[in-house]
Amino acid sequence: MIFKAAFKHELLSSFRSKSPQLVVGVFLVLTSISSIIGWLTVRNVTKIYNDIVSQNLTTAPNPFINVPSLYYMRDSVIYVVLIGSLMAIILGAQASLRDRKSNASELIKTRNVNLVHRIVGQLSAIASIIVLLEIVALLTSFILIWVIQKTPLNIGGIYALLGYGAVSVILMISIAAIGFAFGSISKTEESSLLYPIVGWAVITFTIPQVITSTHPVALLNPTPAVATGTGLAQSVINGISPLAVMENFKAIANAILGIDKSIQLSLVDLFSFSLFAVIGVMASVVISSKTFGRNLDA
Amino acid sequence: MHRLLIITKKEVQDAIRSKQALALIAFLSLSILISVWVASTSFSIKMNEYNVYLAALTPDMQAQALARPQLFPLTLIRSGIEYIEILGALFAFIIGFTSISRERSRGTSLCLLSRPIKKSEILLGKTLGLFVIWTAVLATIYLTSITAIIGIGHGRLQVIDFVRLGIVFLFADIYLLFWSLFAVAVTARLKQFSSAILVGITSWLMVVLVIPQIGDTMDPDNQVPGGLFGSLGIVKATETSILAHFHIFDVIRNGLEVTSITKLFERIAFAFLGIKDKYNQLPISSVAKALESSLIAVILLTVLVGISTVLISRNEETLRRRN
Repeated sequence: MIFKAAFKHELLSSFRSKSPQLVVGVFLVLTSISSIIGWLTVRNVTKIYNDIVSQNLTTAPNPFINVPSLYYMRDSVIYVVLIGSLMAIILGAQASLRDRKSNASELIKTRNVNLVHRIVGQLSAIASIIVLLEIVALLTSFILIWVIQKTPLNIGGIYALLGYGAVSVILMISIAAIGFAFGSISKTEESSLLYPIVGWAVITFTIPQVITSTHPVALLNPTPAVATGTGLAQSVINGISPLAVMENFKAIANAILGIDKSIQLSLVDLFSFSLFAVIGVMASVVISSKTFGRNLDA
Repeated sequence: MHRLLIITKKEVQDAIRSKQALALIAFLSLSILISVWVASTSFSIKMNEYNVYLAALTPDMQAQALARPQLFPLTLIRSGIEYIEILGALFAFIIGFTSISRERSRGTSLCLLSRPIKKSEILLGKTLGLFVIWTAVLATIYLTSITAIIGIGHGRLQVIDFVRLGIVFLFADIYLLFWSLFAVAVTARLKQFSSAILVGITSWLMVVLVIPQIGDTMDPDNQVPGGLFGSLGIVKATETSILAHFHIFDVIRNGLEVTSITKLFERIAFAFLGIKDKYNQLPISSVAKALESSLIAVILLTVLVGISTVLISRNEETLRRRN
């Protein structure tokens, strides 16, 4: 009962809220058009290659010959890391902040409400929104790839697309849950957004840099940068690797989409990623229920 | 003391009291230290591999061996510059945002407006304050960078290197001031703090990450590990002549990139530090001439956002309203 009411209320409030619409719009537009950007680039590189071949300057094969259909999705992976994660933080934080700003918690505390059920209901509503957005993005990509290749994806491709969508949704839901927790415990509205964003930046840029010596900006490049190592002991690298959640996500997504044949789906990446998702959601529920009703500073 | 300077002093004092400036210095210094450590260790690994390769060659083959890897000390702070580009911009936005939100949530903006001071003077004072804060932060980071290059990277710096680094940090100052002023303008203009943060974060995301990322994706040489032309065995001179046939695509890609102040700052920093090969070891005047348009664009964009901030402040409501 509480779950259902919280779920419905959160859905309604999220759709009414105008603030996150800008970032949601950017996410939808960019994940949807990523296939076009990828296709334009591949087409240009193929023209360059043909020009080189016509001048007898190379005998090497075209690097883009027989690229998988889902190759055009490779930018979409980066956009989930960049825009999807930030959108999730905003959706999560705004949901818990809404209650605190309107002092709804005072009213709720007077009733016999199971807080865990209520928070799970709210998080489920946010998860539904994320699923809906991902479905729209995937559907657009599916249609665009169909138009670009003049043939629809085969059944294997559709499964890969769905698998990728599922992993993206898991990442965004766990990050939204973390954002929700920050929205519950932060003293001010701005810190509830800024702390998780700084944390996201450290996970996305600093940790991978320490592990692989790759430059921060290179981590946004669709082509994996060559890692030369940082001389750290393997035990230290193994210890901090699970924290490189975005790199784990990129590896899993690339393996599912078959973008880079050299990347094998690593069990360690899969385990670290799953652990992050489970811990993220569980910690969020526990923290948010324990700190429920905390007042915001002026 | 002039009214403008009083506002400036208050802005700096607020930043010191809130420990924002300290946190910024700590975070950016740490990123510089990590960057130099990672880059120098990476270079040592490359050097060791080269020595192993050299030792494996017979004495007569050693004369034809591959060139020894060369360390250009200023390139060691490449990742640090990228942190300034990405996270520095985010922190600059936060500092600018707090500068207005603090006044409005405490109600001190009402007190300020009751005094015989022009609204534009309040915003100019704040702008000057933000400039002082960033100059102090970056001066510290400049010294940290030099210490890290010499102490951790074991690099030998010439006098000219100090100047090159100085130019880069001067433009970092302007670049970060741009983001702080943008935050001031957005926060002063919008009623809700959350809307200001969301507009700011979305703008930061687009300008700092998405536009440069699309530009990188559209770069033909970024499509294959090691570079397209490298993998096809094409030398630089031939590459340039081939790319001349694809001028329009490159114009579109470049046009997209120059809409991002982050990419402009990156070009300036990478050129003066010699990270971009074609500018490495070139005289400062030659680099400045080659990057003339980027240098002007960064300054112009910052001035424009500064003017917008002052214009927005002419509407008294922007400072008076409470969240």
